[in-house]
Amino acid sequence: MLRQGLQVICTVLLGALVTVPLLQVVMRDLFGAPLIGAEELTRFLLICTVFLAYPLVVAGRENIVMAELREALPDRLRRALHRLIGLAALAGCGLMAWVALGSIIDNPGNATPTLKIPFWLFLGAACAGFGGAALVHLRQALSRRPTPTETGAAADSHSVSL
Amino acid sequence: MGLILILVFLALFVTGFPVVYAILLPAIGYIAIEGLPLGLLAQRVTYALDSFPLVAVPIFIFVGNLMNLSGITDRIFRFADTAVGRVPGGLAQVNIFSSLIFSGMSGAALADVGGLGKIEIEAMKKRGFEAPFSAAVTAASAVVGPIFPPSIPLIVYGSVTSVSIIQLLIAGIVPALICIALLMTTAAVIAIRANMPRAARWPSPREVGASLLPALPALLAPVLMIAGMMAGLFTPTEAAAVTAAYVVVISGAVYRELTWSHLWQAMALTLRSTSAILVIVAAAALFGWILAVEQVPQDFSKLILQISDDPVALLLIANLIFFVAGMFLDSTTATLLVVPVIAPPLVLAGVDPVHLGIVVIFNLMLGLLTPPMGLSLFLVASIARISLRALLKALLPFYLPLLATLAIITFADELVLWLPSLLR
Amino acid sequence: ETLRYAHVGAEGDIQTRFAAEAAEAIEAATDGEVSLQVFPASQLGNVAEMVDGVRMGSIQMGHHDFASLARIVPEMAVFNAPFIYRDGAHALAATDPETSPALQALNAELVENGGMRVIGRIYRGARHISSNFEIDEPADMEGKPFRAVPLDLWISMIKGMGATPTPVEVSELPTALMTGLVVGQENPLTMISANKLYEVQSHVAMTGHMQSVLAVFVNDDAWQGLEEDQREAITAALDEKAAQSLEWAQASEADLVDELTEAGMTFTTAETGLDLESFRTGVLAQIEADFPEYGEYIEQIMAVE
Ligand code: NA
Ligand code: NA
Repeated sequence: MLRQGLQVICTVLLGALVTVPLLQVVMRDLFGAPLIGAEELTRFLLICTVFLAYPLVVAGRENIVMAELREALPDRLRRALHRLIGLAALAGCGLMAWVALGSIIDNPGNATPTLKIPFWLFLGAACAGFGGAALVHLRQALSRRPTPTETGAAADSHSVSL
Repeated sequence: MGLILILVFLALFVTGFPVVYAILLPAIGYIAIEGLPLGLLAQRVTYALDSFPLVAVPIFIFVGNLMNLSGITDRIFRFADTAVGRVPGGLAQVNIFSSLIFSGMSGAALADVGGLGKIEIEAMKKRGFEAPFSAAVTAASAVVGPIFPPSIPLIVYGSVTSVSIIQLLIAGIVPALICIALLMTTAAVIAIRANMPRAARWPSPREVGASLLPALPALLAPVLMIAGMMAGLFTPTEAAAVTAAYVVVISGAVYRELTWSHLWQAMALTLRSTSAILVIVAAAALFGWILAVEQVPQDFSKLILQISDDPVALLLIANLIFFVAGMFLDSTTATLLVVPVIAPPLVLAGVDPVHLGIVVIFNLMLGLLTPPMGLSLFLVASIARISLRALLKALLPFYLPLLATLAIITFADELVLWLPSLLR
Repeated sequence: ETLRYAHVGAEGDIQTRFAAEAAEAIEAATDGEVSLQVFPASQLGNVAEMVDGVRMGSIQMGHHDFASLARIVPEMAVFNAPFIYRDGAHALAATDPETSPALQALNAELVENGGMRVIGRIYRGARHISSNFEIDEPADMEGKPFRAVPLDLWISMIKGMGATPTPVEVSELPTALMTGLVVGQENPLTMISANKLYEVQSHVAMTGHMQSVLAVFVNDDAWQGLEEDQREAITAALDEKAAQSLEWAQASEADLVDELTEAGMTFTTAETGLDLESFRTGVLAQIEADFPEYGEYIEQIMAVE
């Protein structure tokens, strides 16, 4: 449910990301009236799309990783390493989300130069993205289900594993 | 401290931490130890993506997904297969040559891989080529993208060093053609040895015409893009968006094969590929900031430059430095961090700055094909759904023509500077 | 004490020379107690990131256009406003942090709202218009796409000149000029030369519409952490370098006109029929309409001797 909702939001952002430069071409070349701040808006959309879609990457286990050595380890060691990586990822994402939140609180008035897009939107996307990723990592850590690489299903997912 | 940071990154990377965390975790540790404001973490990763050229990456990934899902790819390759399928290597040759055509509209290697690469690998797999070989041909030929104009890395290089961007862009044409010729020769040799599939006979003009017609709207896309950019109608990033719109219209209105489900599916795929790649770019920017503060690239270069002041020797050293830099950094970060330090002494020693630009960017593009931080490798392996090991094994023979091109570019400076000299 | 000093200037630009020499001067003036580690060419990030970095304290010092501080104190952009200075010397006098009433008022706000302050400035030359055709009056630019720095002030100014303000990033500028996406732009001659814009532009109209003065700013916590006499020594060193930057810019402008003429550019000046007055009238009217809040500061700036 949550995942579907996030998917819809990100898709809308991606759609806008393609549409805005297109609109700029039409307005500038056909009507001679370039949109002021279109590039700024596009960059804003890119930042939000990348961060908000990040929990989807983690949930799909599509993070880019060189897992060859890890997967060649003895069973117990490998599982311990999996746990360690999961916890480190959880801590890292949690910290990033917390820091992004702190930056929002520190500079609430910060905005982009032309369109005055408030920075808390960018940082909010980073906060939500890393926060969401932390939750997904937490769920993956708690779940008893083996990871795809462990079951050899990696080839079916998007993740790169050796 | 900088060295420790790099070692920790490598340790985490090798033990199977996702790349983004292998970069992020030591950077977080550094910021905590040095007592730098934590807000730097959030600021740096956010601003790293505040880049208009990067916007082209998701759009071209989207175009690739969409063309694949809506059947345009098949039409292009039916035509290409009919036209040059008889040449030894068949679709591998088409793959390489189409990269040259594609590079005329794209300024970034990753956009080539994300857009065209997806089409090529799928088509080659459909035609019975092995996935690793298909992926290797795609990755190797994508190197040409930022060498042939237009080129985002060359524009960045030119603006950092105040070298003429037109001269840089024009200087890239001959090296790109050399590289393509050597890659096609290599593919032909491999294909003949392994007896790879090719068409049974040469096509008749009638057959070529019949396969050309359905593919024509799709083949016209790059032509329109190049003409549009040359005429000043749009920037490379806008060209990406125009291509996306063109593909939607062609597949929806002309081919009538586009459905809402295709569109949704293409978007979902694009979102995850884009995010997986660009969070690494964001994290790498943080890492690069710390390396710059620690003066790591600068100290390293100074050390190397103490060795010689002969232009040829310095160019060889520059090759080494940028090859290594390309292994660890993305091309923009490497250009921004290392070029300002390396370029001035080399230019003083008599190296032509335009020549140096082509050498540097070619090295950084090779870096996309070398572990540990080969973003092109990751993307191609992910698209082809193969392991990195399989990809690297299949890629091995292609390093030969790529390194040969690098050698030619390095030593035959008059070849590189011939076209730009006509404009001086 | 080592302070990180960041800026976006390229090799060969006056601002890059300023930062390098200021670092030496400050180290000498404080007997090595304070040293600057200079990071040129956007090594520590682009303009917005650099300003945020100084505000946050991850970078202690930096310099850029006054308008880059407008994200914290909007009126700071007034020091970039066109046609408000008589010449370079006036621009330096009106941006002296010790004596300029306008800057002192806005600096107090900058400390209050952003935790940073302006402690020096750099003169980088007058900005002129380059184009693919001859320009003598605003009518020549009417309805044509000219590159505008993507900030409100520039958009307003280009409008006031009669052209269509078209946003282009500086890295895309040569390509955009080559392909005709925009037919002209405005910058100091040093930038036109350093970026080889003479390859894609044929004419320069010597409008001198803006005096390019850059603000040298510092994180206020880092500043207050220095000793009183260290701060005085740094301010004095920066002031001396500011005066020198004016000399560099004036000496180089004459050379640059020769150099660019040799590279094939044609210059139009007041002597050859360039109608400066209609540029001044059009631009100032547009600025006044778009930024009524600048009025009192512009008066203060114009009153500076
Ligand atoms: Na290819
Ligand atoms: Na690499």
